[in-house]
Amino acid sequence: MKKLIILLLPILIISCNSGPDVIDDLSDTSFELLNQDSTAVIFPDDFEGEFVVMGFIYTNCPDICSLITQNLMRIQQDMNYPDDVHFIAATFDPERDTPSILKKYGEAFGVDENFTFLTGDSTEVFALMDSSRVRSQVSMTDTTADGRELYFINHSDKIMVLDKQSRVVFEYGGSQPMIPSLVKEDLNKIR
Amino acid sequence: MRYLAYFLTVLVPLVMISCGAEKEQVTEEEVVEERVRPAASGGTSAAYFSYSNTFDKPDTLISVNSAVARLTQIHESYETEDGMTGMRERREVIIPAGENVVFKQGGLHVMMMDLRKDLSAGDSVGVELELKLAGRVSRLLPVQP
Ligand SMILES: [Cu+2]
Repeated sequence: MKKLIILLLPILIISCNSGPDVIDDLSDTSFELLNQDSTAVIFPDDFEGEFVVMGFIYTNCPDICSLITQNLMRIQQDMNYPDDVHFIAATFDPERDTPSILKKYGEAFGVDENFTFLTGDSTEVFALMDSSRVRSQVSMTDTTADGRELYFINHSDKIMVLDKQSRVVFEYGGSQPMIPSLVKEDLNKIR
Repeated sequence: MRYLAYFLTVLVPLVMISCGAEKEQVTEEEVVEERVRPAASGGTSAAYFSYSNTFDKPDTLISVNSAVARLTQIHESYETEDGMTGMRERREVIIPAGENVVFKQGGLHVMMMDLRKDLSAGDSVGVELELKLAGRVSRLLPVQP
């Protein structure tokens, strides 16, 4: 118990200070990616000056990743579609998740404006994943009757919040049901 | 992931209390909704529902099928040993006598792959379950995000 208190005390003190801790500073990184319309996007440069709520997905993951996508949408909706917050879902399966696939996926979910899907060249995508500390690993491959390759990916379950200086200030388990209210609350502390 | 879950369940409420913030209910009621995820043609979707075994002995779900998908499997999402999230096929699911099996987000799901058509909110999708005792059981589920 004593150990626990010693462990918790600094966290409690820190958490009561005014500004949030910077988890990662992405401002001096730069990734050349594509959005769902195949338009070039430089991340995070193009989003500097905005808050970013970002989740990591692959579209052939209808269970956990749908929850992440929907959590992002729900935060946006619950915050009444704020102009100063941009929502991003970045794929770690650039091979299959091309811009047009991401566009169709977004349409199926009914995503709104200020919501960007990111993909791109594998090297750039995985460099982004490394910087965001998102892990992914092909877990199983199979071949369909008509010879198409099928695979699933084990991955980090993550949503993170970047401040206007492209610094990661909050991180969460992306698919959990309580995430929208937590993110909203945290964002309102720093906006 | 385990650390994160620990953080969310233990630390977050503590921090909230310690800062005197008005606290919102951290745990939200998990609603089991019978539905199929929206998805695009060629993509992947998941179906959720609950099924109760009304027999007085265990029954086993041995396969699932849907006409909208070229490949359908019983799946479950799980946490890997190194803290990642993944999903894997379940060959069968045993349902004890008189009990419910719940297919819900983050757990068991009917994985529908290589979809033959777009599934949009408002559509209905038929899913067929095959059980050792109950035989074939059909469900019509709404597409809903
Ligand atoms: Cu699955």
